[in-house]
Amino acid sequence: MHLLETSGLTKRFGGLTVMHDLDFHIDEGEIKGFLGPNGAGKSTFFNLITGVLMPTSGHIFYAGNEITKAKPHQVAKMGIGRTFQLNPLFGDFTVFENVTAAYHLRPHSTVPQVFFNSKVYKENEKYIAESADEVLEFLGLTHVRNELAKNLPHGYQKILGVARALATKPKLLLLDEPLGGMNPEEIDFSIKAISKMRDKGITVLVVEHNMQILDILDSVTVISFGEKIFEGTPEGMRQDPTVISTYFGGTV
Amino acid sequence: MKQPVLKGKLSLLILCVLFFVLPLALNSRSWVDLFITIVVNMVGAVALRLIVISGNLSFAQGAFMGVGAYTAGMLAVYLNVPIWLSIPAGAIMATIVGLITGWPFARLKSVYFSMGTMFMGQALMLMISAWPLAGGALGLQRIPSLTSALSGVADVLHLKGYQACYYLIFLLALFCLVIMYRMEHCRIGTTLRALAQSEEVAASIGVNPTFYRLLAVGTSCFCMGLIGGVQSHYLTTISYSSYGMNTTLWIIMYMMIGGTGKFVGPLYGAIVISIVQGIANLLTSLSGSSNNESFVAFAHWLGANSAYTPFLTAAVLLVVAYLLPGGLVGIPDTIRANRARRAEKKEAAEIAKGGSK
Ligand SMILES: Nc1ncnc2c1ncn2[C@@H]1O[C@H](COP(=O)(O)OP(=O)(O)OP(=O)(O)O)[C@@H](O)[C@H]1O
Ligand SMILES: [Mg+2]
Repeated sequence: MHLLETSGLTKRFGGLTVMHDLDFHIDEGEIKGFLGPNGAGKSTFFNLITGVLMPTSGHIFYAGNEITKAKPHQVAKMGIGRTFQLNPLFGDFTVFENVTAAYHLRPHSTVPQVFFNSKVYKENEKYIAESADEVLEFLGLTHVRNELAKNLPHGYQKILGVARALATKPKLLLLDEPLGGMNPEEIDFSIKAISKMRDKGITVLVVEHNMQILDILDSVTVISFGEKIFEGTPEGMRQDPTVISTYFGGTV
Repeated sequence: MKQPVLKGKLSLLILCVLFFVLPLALNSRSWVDLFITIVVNMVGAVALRLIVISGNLSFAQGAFMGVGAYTAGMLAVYLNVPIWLSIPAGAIMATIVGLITGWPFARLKSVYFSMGTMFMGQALMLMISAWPLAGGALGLQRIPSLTSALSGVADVLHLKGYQACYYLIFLLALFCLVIMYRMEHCRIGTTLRALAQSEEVAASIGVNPTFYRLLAVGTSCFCMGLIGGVQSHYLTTISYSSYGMNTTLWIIMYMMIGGTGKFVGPLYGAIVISIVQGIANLLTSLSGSSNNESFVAFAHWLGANSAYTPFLTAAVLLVVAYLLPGGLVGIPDTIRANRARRAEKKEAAEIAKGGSK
């Protein structure tokens, strides 16, 4: 059984077909790339999986359950975490608060537990504070812990998006261009961090234009105009004639 | 980190003590009436802010108060329901109406939410105005009075009837304010604030936006209904026109004048504006029992010119609009920002001077 699987996934906006009959899968423990030129439909694919958009037709299965019609918060509850390409944040929260706020599900305190300041809630909050600091440490954000998120440099904001997604304790993590707008040091750091996530038992699906990411990928799916044009290893992808002509514009 | 929390709590404590002691000390009906108005407006403004925290502005707060008032009043008038049941029933009815009508709007954001609640609030009041059982255009009359219901308690506690009424209203208001204070200052408040900043992100971490929006709307409506219900028994006559758009807009202004940045903001806003609006009436009625000649003269003058008190209110509104972007609670921040700007200017001037030497 694949961890995530789509069959015949199609999305049309009016007359425009942005995803056509896509069969896709990712297995547990993989770091997989989901690549393709601008406008290929990569972000749309993430939005379909996470329930932000409803597919026109086709099915999505996660850990054996159909999640085609699930809402974003239900998808999150099932263990799919994500970041966003344009990377919205809780701008008026500090970095630390951004991460603690994201511990909404695991551990979860019910509304009455929270309201009446129950023991469960207090213990959960104590755990959350410690765990959030570990996440910040893991992603190198400790020194900006108390900064407002909106005041962070762009690269840090991107990493904070990843920290927030990690705080939901996902089994499957979807990263939409995590390296976009980063300087070379931040890119190296982030690539290492992503590869370490596998050791934490997290399966990662990553959309990225920066080809340095290929170094840590186990497998790759390439799409163009909403259709799959390649499936295989990063090595195979570099040599694939279709990928070279449609994605790399004829040169590698 | 610790100090601001304490400071916030201290001002709340002081307010609480003042509102407990003053109506006892100021032993007159007109004062107590003013305090009742303030307390009712406080609940309105804070209840509105709870929705604002989640990123929406409701334009039906007055109507929800009306639902509570009419429910409590009609239950008492037609079914002889005692006040200790009719008032909670008003709160529950307002919550139910709020949740049912809020359901479709909870998914809407900002402008659409405001529009939806505005139409709904107006529709509710139009229906009440045309409902014969609710008294129609004349309003609902002869609601069993709170004063007589509490007369036994008042005797035991050696309070005047209107004072006993005040303390019941005060206690119910305190109950509402404590609930809303707690909601804001725990993870529920964090989640509401997160929702306001980005619903997209909030949903991605597992927050059910509809549930949390409705939690805010429901709690807010409960408080509006409760305070509306008890007030209807105090007034004994209510009219749909007291719960229309004008009331809603005033509640919005109490909140904004006080400032939405902190819990105490709407409290200050309600106090200041209610006093400004009510001062002429208060002084006129006090002058009747005063021996101080100049006070009587002043009160008479003010009473004669009470038609102009809207100018006073308008002046306060304009001052806040132009000088206090964060409302009254934003004053320290505004001062700090101004001081910083001045210091910067001075520094720049000194550097310029040094450079020219
Ligand atoms: N809400 C929408 N309505 C109409 N068209 C849309 C909508 N969202 C996306 N599209 C279109 O769908 C196509 C795929 O967009 P998408 O954002 O998924 O591309 P992408 O592969 O993520 O590209 P990039 O690498 O630039 O991020 C584009 O042509 C885009 O214009
Ligand atoms: Mg994209």
